[in-house]
Formats: sequence, C-alpha cells, structure tokens
Amino acid sequence: MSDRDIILAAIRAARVPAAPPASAAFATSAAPAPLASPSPAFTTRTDDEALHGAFLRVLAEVGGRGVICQATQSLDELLAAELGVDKESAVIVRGRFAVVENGAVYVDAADIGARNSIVLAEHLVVVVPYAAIVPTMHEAVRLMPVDSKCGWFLSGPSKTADIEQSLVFGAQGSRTHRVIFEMG
Amino acid sequence: MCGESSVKKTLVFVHELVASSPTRSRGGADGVVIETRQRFGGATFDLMMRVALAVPCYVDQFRPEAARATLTLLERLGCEVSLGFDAPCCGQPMFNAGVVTAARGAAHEWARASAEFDAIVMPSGSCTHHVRHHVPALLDDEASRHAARVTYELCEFIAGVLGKPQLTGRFPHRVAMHLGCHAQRGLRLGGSTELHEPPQGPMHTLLSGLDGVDIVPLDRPDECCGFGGSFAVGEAEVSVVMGRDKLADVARHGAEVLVSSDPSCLLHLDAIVRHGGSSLRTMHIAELLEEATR
Amino acid sequence: MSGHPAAAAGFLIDAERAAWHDQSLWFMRQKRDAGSAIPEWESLRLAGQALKTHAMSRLADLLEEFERRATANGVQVHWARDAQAHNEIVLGILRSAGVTRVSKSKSMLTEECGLNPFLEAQGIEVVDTDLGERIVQLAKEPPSHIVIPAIHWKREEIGELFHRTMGTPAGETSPDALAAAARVHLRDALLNAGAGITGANALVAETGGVVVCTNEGNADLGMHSPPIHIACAGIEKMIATRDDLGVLLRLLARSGTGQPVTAYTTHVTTPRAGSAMHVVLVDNGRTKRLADATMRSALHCIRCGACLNTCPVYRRSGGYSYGHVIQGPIGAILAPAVDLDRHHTLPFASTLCGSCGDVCPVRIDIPAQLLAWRARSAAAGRLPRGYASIFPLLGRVLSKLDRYEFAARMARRFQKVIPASWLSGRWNPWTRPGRALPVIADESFREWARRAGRGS
Repeated sequence: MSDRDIILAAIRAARVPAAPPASAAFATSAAPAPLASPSPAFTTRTDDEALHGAFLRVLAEVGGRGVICQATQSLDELLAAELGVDKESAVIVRGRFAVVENGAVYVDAADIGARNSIVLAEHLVVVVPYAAIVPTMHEAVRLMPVDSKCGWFLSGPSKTADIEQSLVFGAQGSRTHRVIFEMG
Repeated sequence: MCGESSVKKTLVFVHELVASSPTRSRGGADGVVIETRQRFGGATFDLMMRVALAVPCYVDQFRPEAARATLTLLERLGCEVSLGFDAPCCGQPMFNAGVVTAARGAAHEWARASAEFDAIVMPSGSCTHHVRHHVPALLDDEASRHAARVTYELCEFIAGVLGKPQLTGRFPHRVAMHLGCHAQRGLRLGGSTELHEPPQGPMHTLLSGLDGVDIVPLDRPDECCGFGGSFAVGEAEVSVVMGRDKLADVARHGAEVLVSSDPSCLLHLDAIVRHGGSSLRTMHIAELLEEATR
Repeated sequence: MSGHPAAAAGFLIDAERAAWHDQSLWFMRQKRDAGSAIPEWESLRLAGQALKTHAMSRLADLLEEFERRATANGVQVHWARDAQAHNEIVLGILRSAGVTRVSKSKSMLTEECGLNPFLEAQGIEVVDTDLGERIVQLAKEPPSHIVIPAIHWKREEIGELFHRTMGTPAGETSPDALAAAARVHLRDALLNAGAGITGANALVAETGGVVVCTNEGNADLGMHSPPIHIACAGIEKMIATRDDLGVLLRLLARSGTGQPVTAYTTHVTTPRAGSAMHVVLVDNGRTKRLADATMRSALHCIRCGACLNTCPVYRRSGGYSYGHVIQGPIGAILAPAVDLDRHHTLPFASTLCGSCGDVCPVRIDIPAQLLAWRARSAAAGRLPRGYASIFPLLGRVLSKLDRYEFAARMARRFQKVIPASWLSGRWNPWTRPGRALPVIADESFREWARRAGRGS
C-alpha cells in the first residue's frame, strides 16, 4: 500500500464520530454573542465613514498608514505627497478590499507582477476602492476570488519581535505599509 | 440578595434546584437563589437547615482552626451543622497523581459517607471540585452522583444556598484575595482574566461586602500559587518559585492579609511565608469571615 | 530527579534570568488578553472548536478533496506516513532539481521530523529564515517556544552571536540594528536558495489552498522567489471551508501575540508560472492519536503558543525543560503519545491550574488530557520517582477514618521526637527549595469535635 492509502485507511479506521460543520454548530450554540453579529463596534455603525475610521485606527495600531484620496485629488499627486523621495523604492499595487477588524487589505496575485514584489518592496502602497470594505474576516474570506491562484491579507509592514520582544518594523519585507482608499 | 431575612429552607429541594440550574457551572450560585425564590414564591420555611461539615484530611491535621471557623460561621448564619461526616479524604491527592486505583477507595468511602446528607459544605474549592467533577466519573455510581450533587464549597454555599451574598461584618485591613485554581477555573467561582471577566464570584462578593475592607488588586490576580498537590513536591523548585512570585505580588500591593478559600494553597504559601519570616498574615476565608462577623 | 523536574530546577538556578523569562512570557499573555478582548471572543472559540472537530470527523474526505483541487491546480501532493518518509520526499524533490541550498520558514512539523539535520547530512544547506529560528539555528539549538523560538535569548547574547556569525559590530545590542543586519543576511539566503520550504497554518479543502501566516514576510520571500516551493503540513492542518479559515485567522494571531491578524497571511493554491509547488501531507503518529478518543482533540491545536505563554510552569521552567519539539501544556499532552517512557514526567509538570484550557482558541481541554496521561503513566508503570511507593499507600491510609487517624497520631508523635533539622534535610522536597515544615496541630478538628461531644 502507498503511504496515501495507509494514511487514509488509518483515518477511516479511527471512526471519528460525525460532527456538524462549524457554522451549524454555531447557529445552535447558546453563545452570548452569535457569530452572525460580530463586534458591535463594527456592525452597529455600518455607514462607510465609521468603517473607514475604524479601519484607519486599526491600521495605525499595526504600524501601517491609511489615507483617503479625496475626489478633488489625483492619485498621483497624493502618492507623490505621501511618499516623497521614497517613491523610487515604493511598490504600488491594487488591493481588492479592506478588513476593518484587523487593518488588513486583500491583494490578489492576479493584480500584481511578481508575487514576491509585495515583500521585496521597501515601501508598499496598496490602493483600494473606497467602497470595498468589510467589517470582519467572516465577510472577507467570502470575497476572496474563487479562482485565486494566490492572495494575501496584508496587515501593516513586515515586523518582528524576536529580539527580546522589541517590535522592529521592516524585518524582512516592506518597511512601510500604506493603504490608500480611492474614491469612485 | 435575600437581604437580612433569615433564610431557612429545606435543602432537599435546594440541591435539586442547584443541580438543574443552568447557571451553576458558571459560579451561578446566585442563580440558585433566584430559582428558589421563583419556585417558592419568596416564602421562607421554618425548617432548620441541616448541613454536614466535611473537613478535608489536611485541614483536619494542619489547619483545624479553619474548620472551627467554618463551623462557627455556619452556625452563626443559622445552620444546624452535623459533624458526623466520617470519611477522611475525597481521594484527590491520589487521583491527581495518576494513581487512579488508589483514589478509588477514598472516593468510595467519601461517597458512602455523603449518602445520609442533603448538603455537605467543604472549606476547600479544590476538594469540592474533585468531588463534583471527578468522583462521579471515577466511580460511576449513584452514591458518587449524590455526593457530587450535595457538596458545596463554603462561599458558594453561603452566597448561593443560604442566600447571603454579603454578610454584616467589619474587617478593616488591606486584603489580597487568592482563589484556588480549582475554585477559579474548575468551579467557576471567580472572574477569570483569560475569559476577560472582572473580579466577581461569591468569595469576592462576600469579602467586598465587609466594612472597612480594602481588597488590593494584584498584578496577576488569578495566577496559580504553585501548590498543585503532588506537584508541590514532584516539581518542588518550580512550586516554590511560583509561591514566592505570588507572595511578592501580594507584598508589592501592601496587603496585610492574604485570604484564600483553598487551605491547600495556604498550606504552601504559609510555609513560604514562615520560611522567609514575613509578617503577612495568611487566612482562610472562613477564618476571615468568622472574625469579621463576631 | 530526572526529566522535567530536574531540567526545571536547572533552569531556575539563575533566578534572575528565570524571572526575566517569566515576565517576558507574561507580557505575551497580557498582549493576548488585550488582543482577544472582543465581545464575540468566546463565541469564536466555540466556532474554532467546532470547525476543528468537524474537520477531524471528515478528515479522509477533506484530504482527498484538497488533493483533488490542488492537483488540478498543478500542485504536486505527496503523502508521508512518518518522519522518515517526509524527509525522503523532500530530499527527493531537492535532489531531482539539483538543489543544494534551501530556505525554510517556520515549521514545527519539519522540526518534529528532524528535517534540518537529515538534509544537512545529505549535503544540503538549510537556512531557517524566521529571525528567531535563525538565532537558535546559528547557536545550534532547537527552538524553545513554538512561536517565539529565541524567547530565552537576551539582546546582548544575540549581539554577540551576530558579531561572531554575521560580522555585526562588537557590542551591538540594539534590536533595530541587529534585525537590520539579519534582514540583509536572510535576504541573501532567501533569494539565492534553490527551493523554499514552508509549513502551513491551514489547508483548506474547499479551495485547495495552503495558508501560511508570518509577521516578517519571510515565508513569502521563500515561497515566491526560488523555482520550487515545498509546503510541509501535518494532516491535522486540514479545515473544510473558507468560512472556517475566517474563524481560524481571527483566533490565531490574537491568541499568539495579541495582534488582530499576522502581517502576512498568504493563501496559495497554484504555483506561479514556471515554478513548481509541492505539498507534503504527514501522518507521523497523527492517525494513531485520531483513533484515541480521549486524546484526539489535541490534534485541534493551531500552534498559537497561548498555552505556553499563560502556563506558570512553562514560564518558570523554560522550553528546553520539556525535551520535546512542542513545549508547554500542549507539548505535555502531545509528547507522551510519541514516547511515553521518555516523556512520562511531562503530564506531571503542571499544577492543573486550568489556565491553558481557558486560553486555548480551539478549547482543547488540556487539563483533562494531562490527568488522563497521568493515569496512563501510572498504568504503564512510569510514574515520577517516589509516586509509585507513596500514593498507593496513601490511598489505603486515606480510605478509612480509623487508619487515617492512627497514621496522623503517629505522624504527630514523630514530629515531636524527630529533630526538625533532619525533617527539613536536603532529602525533603517540601522544605528543600525554601518552605517551612508543615506543623501538625496538637489537636485535629475531629479530636476537638469529639472532645466537645459532637464528633463522629
């Protein structure tokens, strides 16, 4: 027998009792705050402005910087102002959507050049449509493209705390991380 | 909750209510009272509450004053206390050491002794936890299930069953509170930082209701003291460092008294205090409440 | 003393360092408390438990579904029954491509399989690219923590190590400067490797995707730069759906470091054009545990490290005291399944305080399994020293009131006649580390009660 067959046979022989999928188990649990209504902080304020405000706050907490590109402003102007001399070493990519609860943006490999460019960049800028924002990862994972070959949730710049738990940004990937919301 | 009214109920009903109470596992002794009142329409019964005091082996030998204080306190609260419980140990030391066969004999004897009582109070969270959660699984018989149903830790009994979450008393001291881990996370008689809960539970409520008491906050309010039964000798070095750290936390906050509902934690902590010659006073919660309500 | 107690006592000899270690990890626990303080946290833990229980109940089907999708996407899926098979598969992939230098991001599975020494013996250089892992690799040590491998290293020591191995200036101790030097050093390894090995935080059956989480971004440099990516994963990493992934990602980093999510969360289903991607699915004892109903749920572990950080024993005994690739409470219930003889002291390296069970994001009842392993150790005749002679006797004494009272009276008499200096000698583990002898009262409670005419 191949290792594959041995492993699969051993699993089936273990006769693990059936257990319902998580969503079903959750729907019937007497949990105090059902998953269907995540953090009140996110869900009770569904207007875009509140979502963006919360996102920018969380993003700052994870070491990133978020900017909303106003309708009167061109993206190029904003980038030039934001990045200054760093513009030369910056990589600017399109993100699909932002996630409020953790300050992450989803970037799909289909939208960028080399996959490792997001980590090779000294300065990473992710441009996300203003309206593309969801409260939590529950909504976010459903927005991942079904045919995605590779994609990332990026939350702030590269970081490490492996030396005496001192937080250092730019451990191996980007040193700075910006999210720009683009109107329209 | 029941105010100053003298609550005398028959425990034959109460223990059934406790067993069926959905809040019980969450330190919901308070829930028992609510249910009792609903079922009994707020009526009080003139039956005297009969309760057995079960004294764990090491309390009997090393800290009999905690047992005496428990007795005095229960009587002061209107209970008729029987001292006829005639089993020495619930079997926890052997059970937690993995020697399950040796734990069975003691547990069996314990369950037998429990049969004639409708309520058994123990001044120990960890023994209560063992009787409630491990003994029925170990013996799988009606006697052990009965023992599990009718055994209460002292604070949950006073607050939940007697319906006196707070007592009239005075204890003008700075007090650090240490709930044993089995009361904390096994019986859920305290608020756990892991679960993001504030300080709560019957012992905290009883303590904070006393006049003049100043409960000092600890840096690590629910960190284990390091006793852990056989752990205290099997991992003696780690055990003592944990105990010292707990005492340092208590000292940092200027507490004069360290109070616990678990005499086993106190046995260990007190031994470290005595070795180090500190002036900290260690008290069992029964001793403290008894002193405060004189 | 031997096993965990001996190693722990050794760790505690340097009291100052042990206190520093305890405080460092308590800081992690506090970060976890703050990061997980969201209203639905307990509901999320229930969901985490449910999704793992579900995945284990359908594991064979999910693995087949994953294999079918991954294969359709051009991923080569391999199966390894044990560590040896896993190592041979990885070696085979590297050999056939003529690779002599690989980068590897953090993977507890490859530690478990001993992949590094195996490949190095075959002349293949392996560079661990997580900063913490690189530190311990350069020091020729194993990780002492599954999430923070070099948590036991001080910055001065890291400075000295980097000075010796990377040529950083002598006396450099700034974390920024040291991390910057490591960035240059590791980029070279990552970009010039012939293959990149990663672990997997999850395998998603619904998408055929491999999910890898890092903060440094090293896994992405490693998997997207060389022509070959090999992801090594235990079969228990399987989850059913992307919904499950959402729950898992909400729990993982909050439990580990208190972050809302790791800086990089990569979901990869398809190799990039012109490169190859392999997934090695490893059993190595997992199916045996799956068949063990009592211990099964330990397979749900997502390796967040929260139980290590909260464990008062781990914090004060250090990762090496466990002598196993997974340390702390979860290690103490995983290791005995691998080798009960060797790891029989681990289930006893706990006060059963229960904190591990309460921080576990997938609600593994670790304390219950510690107790169950203790009972199995006893049944196998592998109790810690002294237990086998003391506890059966104690059980006999404590099972009858008359025996107990007789023994207590004898002990009280002994206490009065035997010199305290002998009772508190080096042989006595109660007093040895600094505890006064317990004093048996002159009159027990029961004796008092009888005297008062109330006793039994």
